[in-house]
Amino acid sequence: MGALRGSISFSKFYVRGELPDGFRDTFVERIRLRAFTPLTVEEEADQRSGWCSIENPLDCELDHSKIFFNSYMNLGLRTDRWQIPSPLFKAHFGEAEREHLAKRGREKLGRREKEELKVVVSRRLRAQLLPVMKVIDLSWNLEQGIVRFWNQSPRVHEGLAELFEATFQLDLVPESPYTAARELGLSEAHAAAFEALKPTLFHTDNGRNPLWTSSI
Amino acid sequence: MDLVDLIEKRRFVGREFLVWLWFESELFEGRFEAPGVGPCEVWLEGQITLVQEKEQSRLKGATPAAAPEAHEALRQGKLPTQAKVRVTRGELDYAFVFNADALSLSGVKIPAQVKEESDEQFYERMFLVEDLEELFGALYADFLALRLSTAWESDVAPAIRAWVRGEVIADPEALRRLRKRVTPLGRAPRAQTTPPPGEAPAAGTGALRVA
Repeated sequence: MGALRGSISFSKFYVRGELPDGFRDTFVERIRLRAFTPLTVEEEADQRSGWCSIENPLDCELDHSKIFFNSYMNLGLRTDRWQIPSPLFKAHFGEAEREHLAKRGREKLGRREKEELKVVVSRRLRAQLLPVMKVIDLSWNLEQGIVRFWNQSPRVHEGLAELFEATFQLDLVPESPYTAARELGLSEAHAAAFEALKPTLFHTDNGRNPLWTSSI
Repeated sequence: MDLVDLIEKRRFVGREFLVWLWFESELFEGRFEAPGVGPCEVWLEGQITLVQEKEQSRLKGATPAAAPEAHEALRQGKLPTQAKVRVTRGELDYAFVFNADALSLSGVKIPAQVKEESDEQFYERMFLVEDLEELFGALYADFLALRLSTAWESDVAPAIRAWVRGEVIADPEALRRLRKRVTPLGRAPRAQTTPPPGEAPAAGTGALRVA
């Protein structure tokens, strides 16, 4: 599923702010700073996001040719996460706990010991697993200032907005009835009328025109 | 009101847009003519979801919007939040699920692509997606021009209420004529003096009749 092939289900955003002079070179530099870097077993983080090539999520060495498609900027937003199945973790933790207690001739772990043991077991299991990878396509029409993002979860949108702003120093405004109306270039009178709108009731006779009523 | 508030508090406009699309599609047998994009056909088909607070009616079938249950849900005060829409312009045929609250399109089916190269396929896909968005945006602009005019309360909303009650609109073309008197979006209203001879009567005159 994505911009290049497959099902077309995206969320649309308007980019707020001006593109800087020479933005293509600047953007490539900034994207490289926030390109995806793989998780390691030793570090504490259990999840990381960053940019990758839209054509190959394993390719995070980004340059102009991988990013710019004429007037579009295309990127993959890659997120890797350690996901250790709970039964697997519980089984290994139980075993480690028993070994630890037997070695010390005790019956129960202290709170701190338990936390430390959890970290040790997690690391041991991470070394035998691969992180779960998720990639979401992003296509930015640079001429129109519109970003299409192939995901519709508000929680994921928050992460996108954060990374996009940090990378490009520009804001994303989500599509909605209000933002679409504003994009249509409302006159002052229309904009004021829009902001004052109240919902219409279609299932009652409220506001019925007397002339209309007489015609029934 | 800040931007987030404005976005949240105007989501109902998307539902009203979907009601209007549904109403016009039934009234004019799918025929639309949005300014700037020309004639097209719009149909609600496959599925529709209507909601009022926590109550929800989810209807599926070939033309669920035409089913008595869908109109009954409207009569109960439910409004559509999601519907599968088919749009045809010339030889281009699109289908998608329209989410009214977010004004978003998902599961978009675009016309068959002809390009083979990966890059060319991308440009063709985006061309078709943007074509659909332009067309749907023009329909939204057409709706908003009516929604923000005095004709909405005087003529359009009463006509939709009559349709919701199951009454027949005797003179649908009066709705089309009404459009000519509505100020399009993004333009300052023209100074009104005496209407030219032959122009339709002013809004609010009960020009639309139900049988």
